Amino acid sequence: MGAVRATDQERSVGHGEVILDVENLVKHFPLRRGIAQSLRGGPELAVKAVDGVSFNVKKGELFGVVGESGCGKTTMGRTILRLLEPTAGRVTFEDIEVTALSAEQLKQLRTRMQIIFQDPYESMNPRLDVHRIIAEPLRIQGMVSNSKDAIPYIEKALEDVEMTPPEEYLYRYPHELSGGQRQRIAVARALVLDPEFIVADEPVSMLDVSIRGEILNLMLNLSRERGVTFLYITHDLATARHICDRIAVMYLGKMVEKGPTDNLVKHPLHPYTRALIGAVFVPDPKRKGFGKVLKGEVPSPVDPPSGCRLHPRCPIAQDICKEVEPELVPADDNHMVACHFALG
Amino acid sequence: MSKSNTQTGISAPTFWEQYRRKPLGMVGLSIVAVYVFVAIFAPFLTPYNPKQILLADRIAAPIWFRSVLPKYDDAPSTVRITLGPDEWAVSEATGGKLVAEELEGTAVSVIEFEPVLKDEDVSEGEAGLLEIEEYPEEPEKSVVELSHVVSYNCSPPKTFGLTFNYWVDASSDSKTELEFVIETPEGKQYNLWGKSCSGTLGSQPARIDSRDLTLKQRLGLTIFDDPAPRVFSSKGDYRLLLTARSIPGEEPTRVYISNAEFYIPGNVHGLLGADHMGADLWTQLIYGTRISLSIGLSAAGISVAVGTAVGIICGYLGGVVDEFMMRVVDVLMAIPTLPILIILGAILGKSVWNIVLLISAFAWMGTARLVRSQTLSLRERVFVESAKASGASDAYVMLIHILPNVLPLVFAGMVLRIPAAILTEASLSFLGLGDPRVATWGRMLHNARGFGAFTTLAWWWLVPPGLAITFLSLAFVFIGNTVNEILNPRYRERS
Ligand SMILES: Nc1ncnc2c1ncn2[C@@H]1O[C@H](COP(=O)(O)OP(=O)(O)OP(=O)(O)O)[C@@H](O)[C@H]1O
Ligand code: SF4
Ligand SMILES: [Mg+2]
Repeated sequence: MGAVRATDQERSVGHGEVILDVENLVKHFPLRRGIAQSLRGGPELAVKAVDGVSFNVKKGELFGVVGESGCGKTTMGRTILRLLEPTAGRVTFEDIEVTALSAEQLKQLRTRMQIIFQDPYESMNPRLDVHRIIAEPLRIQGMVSNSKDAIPYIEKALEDVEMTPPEEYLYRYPHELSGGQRQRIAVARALVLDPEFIVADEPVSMLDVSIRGEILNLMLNLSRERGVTFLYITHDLATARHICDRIAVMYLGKMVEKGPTDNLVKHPLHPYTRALIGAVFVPDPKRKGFGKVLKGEVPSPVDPPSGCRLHPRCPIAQDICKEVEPELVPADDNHMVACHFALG
Repeated sequence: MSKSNTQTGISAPTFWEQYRRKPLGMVGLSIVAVYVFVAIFAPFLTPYNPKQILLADRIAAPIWFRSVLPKYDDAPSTVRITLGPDEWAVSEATGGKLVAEELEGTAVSVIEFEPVLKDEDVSEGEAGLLEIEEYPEEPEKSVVELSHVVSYNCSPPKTFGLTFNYWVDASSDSKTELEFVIETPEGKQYNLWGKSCSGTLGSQPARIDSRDLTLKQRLGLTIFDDPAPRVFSSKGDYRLLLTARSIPGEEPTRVYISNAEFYIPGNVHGLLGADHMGADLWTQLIYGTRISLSIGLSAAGISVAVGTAVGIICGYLGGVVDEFMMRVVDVLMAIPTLPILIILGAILGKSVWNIVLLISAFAWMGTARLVRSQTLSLRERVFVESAKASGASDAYVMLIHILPNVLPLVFAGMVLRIPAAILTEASLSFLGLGDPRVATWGRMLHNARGFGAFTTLAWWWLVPPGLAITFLSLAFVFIGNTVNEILNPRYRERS
């Protein structure tokens, strides 16, 4: 995957202008309670999938969100696009407050914000062919009135994802394509509206290792050549490290650390990030606490631990960690961490 | 949601490729094809229409019984002759003649008598007086006798009849007599009917029926005797004689006789005999195919369409609408359908449309539940979210993404609902709640039960509609199960 790797120069976070701003985003899924439970009263229970996340993404940037399965990455991505209604918080896209838009305004905004899903087979209706799958956003948005008008758009999108010649793929069904081709179609579909911002939710995790690089490369090229901004969601720090300009690490609905890729990977500050890196890269014996495997299981997001959510599993936890929740504070330039002992 | 369910995106050629290999499915399809053929070509498969009655005697047996059962060897088949001016032969005529006249498009036989030629001498003096005295004693009658030969070569019938209308146009001093006689091959004459009048007479019906009491009296029979077997006791040529006698007045006397219908109802008739009204049972059976197929298809179509719409809307939108509709479904499913249908049928009136709507109204709930549960899982599918991410409305998602994916499930259900609808209609009709104006299989059975098919063991009336319903229902069950096996392999065990 070496070819995919962006140079440090390219990664300079000098893009400046913020395109997406997420402020204290919260998404809880209320649990259905039985009648007896409701009558007895007691607290409303909810899956606290995303529980107060703030960050921003700069124009043209590839922003990675890394975390274990179930930590709320997908929920966050969906809530940002308002495919889920947020419980609280604010999402601003350029100067548009996404969280305050009406359905009609939201529909217009969808031409500018798109999403690529994890499973390219599931994300396509098996009854539709490639042509109709890619044309769908155009038709929904009323940009073409019939399928013939859509052809130039579709061919361009297919060329953008390097599926040439486009005619060869137009009338195939998803099951007639390989996994990698399917995911290219998914990218083409996301691109056909010419969006500025794309949420890519684990776009390669379902793919064969050998073709992951192609798709990541494709994203990288789109980002560098067309200035498309990506929010790249993954549980795999290695892929994020290869393509992302900045990375944020999530644990149980919270962001625990974020910073420029090199900085974060080479000098992780949070014990959880260190554990993640330890699981991916060869541990450096000189560094304290590096690579220590966390004990125990991820606690339930319905009833997360008090204080710092990592404390039952943290190798360096102290008493304060059980009571006081650490804030996400700047450690150095652009690098932020939420741990009482990360800076000490 | 597993991949196997995603594979319901099966193309038509592939589907047919798989369907062909299922013997039961092909049997079902062939049977239905035969029914559809019969339904479409019904008018070409029978010379009668289902509304025609008096085609034969009540509960006449099939005509082919004659060659199969000795008992029916020379059972009479229906004789029906229309006698117009061309059919009547004038066998005797004095002072009158038969002319054909066209009245309102139909030919009418007119017997025309010449007027009395007033002798100059007679009109004055004693001679005239003398004439008048003699007049009642020795009337100078003119006679015209019309005859028609009918050859009858069967065993004696149970009844016969002749109907026509007649009227007389004459001056008031005239007298006219009409008489109908049947002459047997042996030369014996039965005087069955007579009528006399003076002057003009308006249109009158003549209904000569062998079961008529006055007719029996006229022949000197008791009311328990049957004239028909006596009159038509032997085989050979019978002569129907219609005689008009007249003492004409000053004007010509004209006796008008409309086309006369001579009718001996047969004991055997058509492919399947006749019902209590003498209507053709074969005709009812094949026209019943039309009705049953249309009722089955439309009731199944309507109920499945309603069920699919309700299921998709409830499943996709959820919330209060869903809660409410699902309670409605529970209630409708809990109440027994047939009694409710009977009551509603009685209130709303007996028309085929009402019956289709009623059957549909109580048959959509199963589909609604099935579709709803399918929709609940479909709406969580990523391609639905993907469409929403491009700005798709609820209606768009329901129509483009949910509907096509529930159709295979619904399609098999619809095929299986057709026989259910057909059977419900048959039950309602059998109970007398069907549309009395149309011949359906249920109504055939209803009539058979009500008008003596059981007591006379007229199995040719009972069995065909029963078999027709059974085979058609079976055929649809075969097709439905086969379709289910192919489109919804997971439901295989259940069916
Ligand atoms: N619609 C929902 N209703 C209730 N709970 C949900 C719903 N969607 C997600 N969750 C819960 O929210 C939590 C976060 O889920 P999410 O899918 O966002 O995690 P993730 O980080 O994307 O995990 P993965 O890597 O497995 O995709 C999980 O505990 C999940 O069970
Ligand atoms: S705050 Fe405490 S428990 Fe949380 S990560 Fe830091 S040391 Fe561990
Ligand atoms: Mg996820």
